[in-house]
Amino acid sequence: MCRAGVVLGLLVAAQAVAAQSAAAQEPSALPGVVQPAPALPEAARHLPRLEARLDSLLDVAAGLEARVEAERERYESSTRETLDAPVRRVAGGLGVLALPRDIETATALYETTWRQVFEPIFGAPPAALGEVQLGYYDHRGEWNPRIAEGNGMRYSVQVMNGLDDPRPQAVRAVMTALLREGPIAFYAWLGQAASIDDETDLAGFDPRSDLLGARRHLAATRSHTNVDCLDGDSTACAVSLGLRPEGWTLEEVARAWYDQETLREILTDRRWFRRADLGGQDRFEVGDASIDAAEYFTYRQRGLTVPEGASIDEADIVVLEGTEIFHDVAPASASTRMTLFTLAIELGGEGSVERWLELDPDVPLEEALEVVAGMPVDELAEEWRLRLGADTERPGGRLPVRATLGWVALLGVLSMTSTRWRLGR
Amino acid sequence: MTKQLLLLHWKAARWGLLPWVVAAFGVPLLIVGRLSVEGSLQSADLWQQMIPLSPVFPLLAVAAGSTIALTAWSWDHRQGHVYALALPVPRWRYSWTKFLAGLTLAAIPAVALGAGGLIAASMVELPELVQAYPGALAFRFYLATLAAYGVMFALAAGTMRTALIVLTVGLGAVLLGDPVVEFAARVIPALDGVRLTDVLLNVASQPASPFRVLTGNWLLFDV
Repeated sequence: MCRAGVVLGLLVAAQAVAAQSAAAQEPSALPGVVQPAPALPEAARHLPRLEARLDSLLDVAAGLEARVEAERERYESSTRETLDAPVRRVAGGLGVLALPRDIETATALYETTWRQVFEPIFGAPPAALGEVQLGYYDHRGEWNPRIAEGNGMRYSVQVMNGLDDPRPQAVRAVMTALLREGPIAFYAWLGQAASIDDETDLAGFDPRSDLLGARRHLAATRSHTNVDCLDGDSTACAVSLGLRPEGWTLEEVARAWYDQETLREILTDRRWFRRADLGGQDRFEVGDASIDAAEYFTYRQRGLTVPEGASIDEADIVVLEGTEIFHDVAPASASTRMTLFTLAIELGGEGSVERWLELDPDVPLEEALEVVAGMPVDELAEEWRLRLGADTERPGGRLPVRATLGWVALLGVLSMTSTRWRLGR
Repeated sequence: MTKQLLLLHWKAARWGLLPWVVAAFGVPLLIVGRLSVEGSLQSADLWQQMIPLSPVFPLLAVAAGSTIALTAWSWDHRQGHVYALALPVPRWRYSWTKFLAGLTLAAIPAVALGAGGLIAASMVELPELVQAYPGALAFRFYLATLAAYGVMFALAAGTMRTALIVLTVGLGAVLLGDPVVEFAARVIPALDGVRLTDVLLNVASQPASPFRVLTGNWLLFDV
């Protein structure tokens, strides 16, 4: 009704202006005689009719809305009747969610994934995995609007043309589900590894330990603690892995990783989008002092008061920005950290997975690792360092020289037995 | 006779071998070029830049070894083995001399790789714990070339029919093996989940396999 009132008001005003304009243009019949005012009462006579016509439009709109709603309800009920809803099945201890047409394939995929990738390390699936929903949707089949919001994009495994091998997705889905069931500290520490979508050997998540890859990564990163770690210092190994040795603060850990210039370079690489947030400025004026834009952003993001003229170093920034940035900046990559976690599970023996999943959600990372491995973090780091050094195949090492030369000689001798007579062959 | 056969083999093999020699020399430089484009070598991306190119080395070794082996016998096959029949030497000695000439020629691409690796290594500043292995890589390359050469030489020394049969079966197993096994698994459940390429790779990587040298670490730079 409000809209009708506004329209009506405009119509009345327009009609009044038009009437006044017409009256102004009309020559006076009797010069010097004042003409009567324009016929406003005439417009007022039309008002109820106009109002009724406008109100009738509202009725039409309401009717159309009702029809649309009815159509929507009819469509949804027909969808419910004619299209299959996703079904959930627990198979081999894994909770799987897929359309009925896909459920067999999905179940087989997740069971095979567990058997081939996880079982050698984790044993049988923990009970928690029976409660989760490991999704699977094949986009190549007929579209089913009931699969989920976003056309199935929220399913952890999606098969489509050009992405026909779902195994890497299934590995990621299972590991992500496991990490979500355990303490937050592990998810923050390892979650990045589970979410990496990369086909290269050194990225992406695979719980099968890649100690050689870890060693290569540590060696190629410009970090003091990485060098010390490969030289035999297990405390440096723990620090590189983003762990806090006893008596260390997080700032000290971050400060030990790189020299200040390198850490600034790394942070700058990760800050470009933040500079964009700050209008592309590199520095901000706070009082009389100029402060680094990223530093300013850090204060602002954490709700802290920017101290006038004060400056914090890069390590403080890393810690202030929270665990995600802290682990992202750490010189040991997520896949390298995964090798330590896998070792903790292995050394923890039977029940280590259950202990992991039963941990309090807020338990600190170091404590969580100790519970899983059943040993102090420094001993775990030392064992990891020893294995890291043992699993190395250099380009010149372990060459099968004897076997190759033996075969070459044998093949040479065999070739001597061939005949020179070729007639008819 | 050794010198003549070596010269004859060189004449037959040189143009076929040239692309592999150039590639063996150039791939290390290509690796370093890729790294330079992406930035400093002191980066965790080092491996991600290098590892995708490392399988090129064993492939080049197989190509070079096969080229040398096939060109060793191409002359004889083309002339109907008349030259060999006319020589006043026993067949075994003729074959053995030819075989030794090929072993010598196989060193050429390996030397090219070693030279390319040395130049590439001198062009970059490596991180403290990373080393260049041009010599080790060249030696591995030579062994791999010899392995491919030995197999192909033995095949080519026989009849063309034998060589064709063996090569066809081998290539067929590699290219079509998986689909065939997958199809057969519908009839034979025991084959379900078996991947022929994985089986072949597993056999090839056994310590006593002649192809073991093709597997393993082929990185120019490593810890």
